[in-house]
Amino acid sequence: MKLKVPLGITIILVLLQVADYYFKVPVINTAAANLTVAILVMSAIAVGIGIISLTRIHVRRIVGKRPHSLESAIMLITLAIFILVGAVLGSGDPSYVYMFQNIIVPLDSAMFSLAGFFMASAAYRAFRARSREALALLVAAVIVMLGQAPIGETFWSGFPVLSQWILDVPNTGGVRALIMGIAIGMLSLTIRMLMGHEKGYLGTGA
Amino acid sequence: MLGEVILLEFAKGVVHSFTLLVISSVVMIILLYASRKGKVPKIRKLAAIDAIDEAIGRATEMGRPLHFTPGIGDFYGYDAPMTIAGISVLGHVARRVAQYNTPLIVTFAAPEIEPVITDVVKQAYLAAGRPERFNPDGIRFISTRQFAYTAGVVGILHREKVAANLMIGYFAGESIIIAEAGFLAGAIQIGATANTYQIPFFVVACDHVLVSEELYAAGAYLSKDPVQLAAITGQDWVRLIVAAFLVAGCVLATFGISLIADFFKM
Repeated sequence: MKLKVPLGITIILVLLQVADYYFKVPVINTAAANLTVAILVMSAIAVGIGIISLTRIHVRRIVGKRPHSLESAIMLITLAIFILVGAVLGSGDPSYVYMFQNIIVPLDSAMFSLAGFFMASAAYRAFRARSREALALLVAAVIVMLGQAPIGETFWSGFPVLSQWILDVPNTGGVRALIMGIAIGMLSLTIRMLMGHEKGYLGTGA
Repeated sequence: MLGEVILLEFAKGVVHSFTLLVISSVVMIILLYASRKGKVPKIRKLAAIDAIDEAIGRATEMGRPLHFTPGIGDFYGYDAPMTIAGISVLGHVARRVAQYNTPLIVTFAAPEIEPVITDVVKQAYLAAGRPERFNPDGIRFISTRQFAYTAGVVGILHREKVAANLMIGYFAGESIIIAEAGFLAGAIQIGATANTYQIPFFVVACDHVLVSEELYAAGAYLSKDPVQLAAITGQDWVRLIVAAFLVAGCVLATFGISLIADFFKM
């Protein structure tokens, strides 16, 4: 019973969404639209669950005087300030917007900017020509980089053309094959779920 | 509403997709039923999935935690199947770490998946006969904001000195940052996503990668359930059908016959 009820709900909701995509039947389309609203409500409730979980973990760390308690305290204080200001003054209030623009946005940008450095370090390791595949990767990457950078054209006018060919032909072909495989894989997963064989997400220990 | 006849009218431009859905479903269902009669299909080995046990073993030997993340996805939209596939793998991983008493840390960015993840991990510890080893503090929602989540995961990888980092699910721009942080922390890494923009980052930064539909096959592969394995064989048959459509379409179009091209516009 514990397994059959969630499985039954999953099957009904999946079939409803599939029918909504393919058919123009007002009853189905309205039910699917209402379901989307229900999902939004559930997501909002889930944020509350997330905050409770986050608070529980960090409070335990502080109470247990475990390492990094100071960081936990800073996190909880920041969380409380944001919730208080947002709840009392509203998320459109200048104070909240100021905090958001001057704390969250720069931190987000700083974190994202790390991606550039990490891409370079990962590429350095990957492009060491230790195998034939790595050599092919290296050659293709060098050509594409030279083709995209202005300096490449000054070396040889063919770099941009060759670079574009690599992107348009082998790269696009490969990506399309990946996308087709992904779509078929997704379909296979859905059919397994609909037939009640894929139960890993229901807590049965896969 | 009762007594009203509901006529099924197709939405615009989905007839071809619906036809392929029906064909694919029929092929997979036939194979699923064939497997129930004892016909167990053989599927190729997935090195990245086999490496999960290696990663767990390494973390156990080093006495350091294993970190698992299904990424920043949730249960609706494009990313839902990837999240579900990731959670299916998590069940297997949790059962193994429960047996070996290896610390497990699971991080995620969508709070709505927390109850499911907690239940999957708890059930896995129960199935392994070690419910007392389940540590709820290991299940960590970090933030709904992508890069706040990334910062949290990077911190955990370094502070808690994880020995194995499993990233299986939906990932976006944070993939390379987390994978490189895992590399710097000295962790053995397995990456899997169906987001085609992020697969190259995992390829260059991880020790093992599940590419494309391998992510969706992972749960079935680990379950060793003949019925689920039959669905994987079904995937390959459907792929052959799609390839046949492609080749036939190209040949016919070369001779000026747009039959298949027209079908895909329906």
